[in-house]
Amino acid sequence: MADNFEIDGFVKQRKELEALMMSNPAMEQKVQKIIRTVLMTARRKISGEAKSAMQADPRQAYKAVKTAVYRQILGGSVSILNKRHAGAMSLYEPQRKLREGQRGGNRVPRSDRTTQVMSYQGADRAFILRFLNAGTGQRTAGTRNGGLHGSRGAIRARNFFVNSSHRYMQQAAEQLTSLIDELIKKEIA
Amino acid sequence: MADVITRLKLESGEFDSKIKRASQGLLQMEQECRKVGGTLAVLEKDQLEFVKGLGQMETVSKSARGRLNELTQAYTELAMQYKRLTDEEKKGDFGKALSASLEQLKTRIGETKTQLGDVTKELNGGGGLKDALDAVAGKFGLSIDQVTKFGGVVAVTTTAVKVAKDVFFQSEGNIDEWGRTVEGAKGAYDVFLQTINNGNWSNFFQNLSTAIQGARDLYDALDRLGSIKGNNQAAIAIVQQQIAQLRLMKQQGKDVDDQLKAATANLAALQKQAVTAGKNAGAATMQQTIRNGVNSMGGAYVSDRNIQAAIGGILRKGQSEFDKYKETVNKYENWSKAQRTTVRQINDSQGGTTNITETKFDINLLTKEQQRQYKLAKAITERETEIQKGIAIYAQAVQEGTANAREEFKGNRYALQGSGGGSTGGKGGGTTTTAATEKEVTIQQQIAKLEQEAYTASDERRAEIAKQVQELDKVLAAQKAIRDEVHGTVKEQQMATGISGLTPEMIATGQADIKKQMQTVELGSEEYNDLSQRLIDYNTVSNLLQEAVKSGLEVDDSVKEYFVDALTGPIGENIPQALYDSLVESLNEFKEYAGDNPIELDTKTGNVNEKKSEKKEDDTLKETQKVVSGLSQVASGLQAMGIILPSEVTKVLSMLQGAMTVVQGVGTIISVFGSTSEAANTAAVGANTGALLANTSAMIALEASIAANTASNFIPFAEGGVVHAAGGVVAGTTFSGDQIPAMLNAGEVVLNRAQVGNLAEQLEDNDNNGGFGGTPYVTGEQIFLGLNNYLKGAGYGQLVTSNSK
Repeated sequence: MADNFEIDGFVKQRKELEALMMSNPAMEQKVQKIIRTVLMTARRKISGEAKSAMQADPRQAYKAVKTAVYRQILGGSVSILNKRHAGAMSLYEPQRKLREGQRGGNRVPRSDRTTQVMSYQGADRAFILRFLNAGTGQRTAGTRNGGLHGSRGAIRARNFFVNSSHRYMQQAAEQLTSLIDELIKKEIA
Repeated sequence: MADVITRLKLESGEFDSKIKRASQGLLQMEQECRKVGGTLAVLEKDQLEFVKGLGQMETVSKSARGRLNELTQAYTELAMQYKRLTDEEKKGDFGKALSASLEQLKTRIGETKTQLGDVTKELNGGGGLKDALDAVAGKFGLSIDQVTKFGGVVAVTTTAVKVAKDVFFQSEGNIDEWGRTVEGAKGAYDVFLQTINNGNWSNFFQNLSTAIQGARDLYDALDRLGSIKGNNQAAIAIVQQQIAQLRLMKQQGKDVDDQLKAATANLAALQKQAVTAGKNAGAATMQQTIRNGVNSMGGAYVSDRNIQAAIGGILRKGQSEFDKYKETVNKYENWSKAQRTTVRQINDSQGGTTNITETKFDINLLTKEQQRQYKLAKAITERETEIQKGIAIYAQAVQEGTANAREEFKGNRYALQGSGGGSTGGKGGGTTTTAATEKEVTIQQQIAKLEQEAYTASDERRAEIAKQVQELDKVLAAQKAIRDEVHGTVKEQQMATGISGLTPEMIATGQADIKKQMQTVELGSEEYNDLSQRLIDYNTVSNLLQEAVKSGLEVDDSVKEYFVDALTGPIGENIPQALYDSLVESLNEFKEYAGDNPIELDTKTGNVNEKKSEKKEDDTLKETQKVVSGLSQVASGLQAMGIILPSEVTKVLSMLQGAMTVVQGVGTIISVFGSTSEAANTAAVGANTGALLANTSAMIALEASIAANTASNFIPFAEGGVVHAAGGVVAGTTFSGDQIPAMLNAGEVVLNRAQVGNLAEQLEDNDNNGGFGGTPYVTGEQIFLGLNNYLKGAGYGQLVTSNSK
C-alpha cells in the first residue's frame, strides 16, 4: 500500500531526526568539521585582506591569521593572536635564494649571535601583524640632554582585521547554515 | 589595541530546534496521512507495531515533572482517541494495542509520580541542604564535595567530563532529582539543562560551584536566623523575667540600677543577634536570587560587588530602583545597535523559497559593561517577586531592631529615673521624656508661685519660702539631670568615667596648651600647621566621643587608648582620617538604626554637624564664592577678546578674590579656636560675608557698565570675523588656549587642531589599499596629507589639499 509505505517512511525519518539530536556525539563531530571548513575559508580571505593592506611584508606576517574550533561548544574563532603556548613563535625569514649567476650558497655557518638577533622577542608573525593592524604613535628611544631622542617613527594602523573578519565571519555563518542543512538531509537520506 | 579575535558560535539550541521542527513536521504529515488512509480497524503490521509502541513513547523533558506532564497529555489524547473508537474497532487489533499502550502509559505515570514523591521526601526529611544534596547525588555516584572541587579546579580534563556526562546520562531518571536537589540554586539547574544541549561542561561546573555556594550561603543565613531566633528564645525570656523582677525590686526601693542596666544591655545584645542575622538573611536571599538570574544569562561576568551595590540601592530607594532597572532593560532591548538581523530561508508551499528577516536582541552586541548592566537589570526585573521576599526579611529585621532599640531606651530610662527621682521612679517604664519635662514645668511654676508670694509675705514666711525654693531647685536640677541623662545631651560625668583618660578636663587642658604653643610659633610655619592639626584632632575626638556617648554607642577601649596616646604623643603625628571616617560611619549606622539624623565630620575644624543641615551654614559664603568666580571668568573672557579692563575693575576683582580667601581662612580659624561658641563663629563669618556681599553688589554694577562698554567693541568684531556657518578651518597662528571667539549653533561640534589631525589620520588609516603613506598636517589655513620622500627613489608629491575657503 503506497500510502502506508509513505507513512512508514515518515516514521523512519522522524526517528532518525530524533536520533540526530545533539546528544549524538558523531553528529557533533560532523558539525565541528563543517565549522572548521567554513573557518578556513574565512581565514584565507582575511589573510588576503591583510596581504593587500601592506605594501611590503618580508616576513609574510599575513600568514599569521589563525583559526580555532572549540571543543566543548559548537563554534570557533579567527584571530591574530600568538600561538597558544607561551614562548612559541612562528618565526619566518625570507628564503636566501641565489641571485642569477651566483654560485653556491651561504658558506659561512650562521653564528649563535645571528640566530639570537633574528629571533628577538616579538618576531612572531602574529605579533608583527597585530602591530600593523593596530598601528602605533610616534615612538622614540633613549634620552639625551633631558629630551627624547632617536625617533623610530610611527606605524600606520591598517585596521584590516575588524572589518574583514566581521564580513567574512558573517559569510562563514551563512555558509555554515546551508552546510548544516545539507548535512541533516544527507544524514536522514 | 584593536580587536584581534572574532568568534563564531553555533547555538546548539537552535540546531536542536531545527531538527525538532523537522521531526514534528514529519509527525504531523504522518498523522494527516493516517487520517486519509481508510479505517483504522485494518492495519498493516508496521502500523500495529507503532500503536503498540505508543506506550513506550519517548519523552522530550529531562525532568520528572516535565515528563509527567508529557505522559499525562499523551495519555489524555490517546484515551480520547480510544473513546472515539467503535465497539468493533475496540475489539479489533488496533483497539487492543491502543488499550495496552494506555495501560503502559498509566504505569509510567504512576512510576514518575513516585519518583517525584521520593525526592520531595528526601529533601524535606534531610538534615539540611548539604545532606539532601549528598543523599541524592550519592544515587548516581557523585559526591557534592567532589563536584564542587571539580568545579573549583576548572582545568577539567576531557575524560573526567566525559565520565561525569555519562554518569548523568546513564541515570537519566535521576537528572530531575539532581535538579530538584539544587532547587535553592535554580540557576545551576538551568545551566545544567542548557549544558546537556550545548555540551559546555566547564561552564557548567563553574556556574554550578557558584550556585551551590550561593545556595549554601543563603541556606546558612536563613538557618542562622532560624537558629538564633530559636536558641535565644529561652535566654530572652529569662532576661525579660529578670528585668521584671528587678523593676519590682526597684519599686520596693531597692538599689538595683546597675543590675537593671546590665540586664537591659544583655537583652539588647540577644535581640541584636537576631536583627543582624535577619539583615544578613534578607540580603543573602536577594543576592542569591539576583545571582541565579544573572547566571542563567550569557555575556559578561557580574561580580558580587555589583550585585551587592544593586541590593544596597534597592533597600534604600525601593520601587524607584526597580523602575530604573526596568527602564535599563527596555533601553537595551529596544536599542537599535543591540539588534541582530538574521535572514532565514523557508520552503514555501509552491516549492520555492522565501526569505524571512528576523530582528532579535542580542546581548553579545553590547560592550562588556553594558552586558553587566543589562544582565543585572534583567535579573532584578524578572525576579522582582522573589527579591521582595528578601526585602521583607530585611525589613522585618530592621523593624525588630527599631523596636528593640526603643525597648532598650525605655529600660535604661527606667533605671535612671529611679536613681534621680526617688518616689517618682515608681511609675515604671511607661513615663516618657515629655512627662519629665512637664514635671520640670510644674516645679518651675511652683517656684514662680512661691517667689510671687514672697513679695508680700512676712519675713518668717519669706525664710520658709526660700528654703522651699531651694528644695524645689534641687528637685528641678535632679529632673533635668534625668532628662539629660536619658537624652544624652550632656554626659560629661559618664564620659569622665566611661572613657579612661579622655576626660573633658584632659581635652580642655590639652586644647589650652596647644593654643598657648601656637602663640609662640611663627604663623604659617610647619610647626604651626602641626599644632593647628593637633587642635583639630582634639576637637574631633572630643566631638566624636560626645556624639558616641549621646547615641549610646560603645567605643572600643583600644580605640580610646589609641586616642589618648595620639593626643598626648609627639606633635606632628596626627590621627589618620580613616579612623575618624570609620567612627563616623559606625555612628551613622547606629543613628540610622535608632532613627536619628546622620552626622558628618568637618575635617577642617573637627566639628560634627547633622548631615541634612550641611548647606545652611555656608550657603551665603558659597553663593558669594560662585559670584566672585563668575566675575573673574567674565573678566578673563573680556581680556581674551582683547578688551582692556579699566584698572579699577581689575583691582576690585583681585581684592574680591583676596577677600574671599581671607573670609574662608577666618571662618576656619574661628571655628577651630572657639569650637565651643558656634553661634559666635557663624555670626563672625556672617558679618564678613555681609561685607563681601556689599562689595560684590558694587562689582555687579561695575560689570553691567563694562558689558555696556564692550558691546560696541564686540559687534563690529563679529561682523568683521570669518563666518563659519558652512564649516572650514579657522585661520590664525594661535594654537593654545581659547583665543578666537566662536559663534556656534546647537548641535555643532568643535574639534581642536589635534583632534582634526587624529581624524585625518584615521581616514587615511582606514584606507585598506596600502594607504598613501602620508602624514596629515593641520595648519591655520589647510589640512593636508604630506609624504616624506626623504631617501626615496621617486617622490609621490602632495596627495590631498583641503583649502579652508
